[in-house]
Amino acid sequence: MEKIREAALAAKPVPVPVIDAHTHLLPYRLKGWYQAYDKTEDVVHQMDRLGIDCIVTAPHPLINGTMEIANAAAAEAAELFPGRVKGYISIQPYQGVDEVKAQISKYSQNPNFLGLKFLIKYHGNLPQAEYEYALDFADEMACPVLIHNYGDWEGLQNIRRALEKRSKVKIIVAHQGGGYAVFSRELAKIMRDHDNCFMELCGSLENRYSVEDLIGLVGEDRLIYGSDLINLDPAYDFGKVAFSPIDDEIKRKVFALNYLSTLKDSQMGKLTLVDPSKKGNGVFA
Amino acid sequence: MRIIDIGAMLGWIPDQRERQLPNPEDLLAYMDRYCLTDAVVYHTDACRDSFAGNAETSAICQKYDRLRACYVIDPPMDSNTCGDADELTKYLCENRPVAVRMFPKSQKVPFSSFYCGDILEVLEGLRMPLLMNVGEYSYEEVAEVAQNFPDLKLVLLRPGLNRSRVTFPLMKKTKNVYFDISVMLDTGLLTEVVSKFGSERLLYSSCLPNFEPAGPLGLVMYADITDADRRAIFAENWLALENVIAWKTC
Repeated sequence: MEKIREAALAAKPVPVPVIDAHTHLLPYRLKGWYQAYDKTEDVVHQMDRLGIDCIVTAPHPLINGTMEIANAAAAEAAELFPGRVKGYISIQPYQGVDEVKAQISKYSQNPNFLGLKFLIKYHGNLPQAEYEYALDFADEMACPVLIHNYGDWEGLQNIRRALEKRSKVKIIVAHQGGGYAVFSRELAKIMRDHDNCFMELCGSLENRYSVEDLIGLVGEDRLIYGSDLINLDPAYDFGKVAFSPIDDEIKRKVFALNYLSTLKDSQMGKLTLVDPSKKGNGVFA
Repeated sequence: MRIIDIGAMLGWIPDQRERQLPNPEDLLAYMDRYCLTDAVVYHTDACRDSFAGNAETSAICQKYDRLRACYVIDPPMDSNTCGDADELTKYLCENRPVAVRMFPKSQKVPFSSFYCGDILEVLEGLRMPLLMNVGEYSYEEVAEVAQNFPDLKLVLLRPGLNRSRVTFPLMKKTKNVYFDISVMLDTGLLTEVVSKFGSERLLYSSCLPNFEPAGPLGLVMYADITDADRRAIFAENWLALENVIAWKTC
């Protein structure tokens, strides 16, 4: 039996580096959302149990707070848990383009910030001046931008249009393209046309495709593990990879190496694989 | 480790192109990929014609001992789709499924004591677990039925995301509502439910072939619970339900 699945069947941390590319720290209890734990130290404890070595986070104030609250929270968590927590610069267009510029200017200097996070639909559609500015910045920096898309067909088409103008930004489309198989198929078409576009896994509970199916759609080098913690329990999408009947070498890519590939040319913060034989502290810097 | 998937299905799914496992051999092969040992199955044909479809289910389960028959009951009672109380009782006792399903919303009938009570009384008397898909009930209906039929074992399949606020009262105030954990994705919910209410009313399902087993496997294996709780969720709780069905004890 492959080692990753063997560890998962024993409820042990998986023995390979794992980056969770889509996370949210701090509580969020609007509209039925619920977390049994919400402190960052408890999140790190859960990470240790599963074998998640590093998370990249856009804290929940991203949704209806201010960019500064979200970004400051990510910065603080990254300081408190070096190598375990990194951040995305949260972009909220409703605060206006001047504030978006100020936030990007401030946090792009922080080596703990690896890219940007957009929450489209919550904050309106993609073609807005603030998002256009942020995408142009990300293209210059060749950094990743994680873009939420759930159930939004027009959102996917807007992402396609954004990619048509930009070849260096690494756009990571969250929720397998939109949460349902039909969106995954559409995202796969976009990804065939744009090799700087990636698919992120989290929130797959309504998607009939398994991980092996998604790899069949987009290839083993373009699927990135994320869990949406603490919006969602990380064990679900983690299990989708760990228990998938695919080779460990492909799981390694999904769990970490594909995300690292999006940082290869980036001029924003870096995530360096230091010691893959370790777990938790010391794996990444 | 024994893992019983309580929510599986045989037959064709007309609106699905991602995964079809219409035949038992296909289903068993897919289960093997995920280390599932057994499955409680109903046949999609039973949704079209319950008696014919249930007969197919029984024939398949007699041939494949890893598959356990679940019958579809089509209300109302006293109709030609269900028979009267004596006929329904005789039908279930003779054919011995390990569970039944109903699809009240799909069949345009409220899931309530008034509309379904006569059927529920038979199921309660037989101690036959009743499996219900999300969307086929409302939580108000579940609470009302659970209270009026306290010995009926009501199993909620895929009860949904962001349902912590109904899960807690149902766990606390009923003894006969069971939960499939497959989409119990609220952060830390499974661990919290087990710590506060125990694991006895939690069951494993993937709802194959509609969805796949790996995510729910992750939820159980990486919840902060004991191995005993995992064994209970994966198989022992379901077997405890089966073992008290009337035709097993008489």
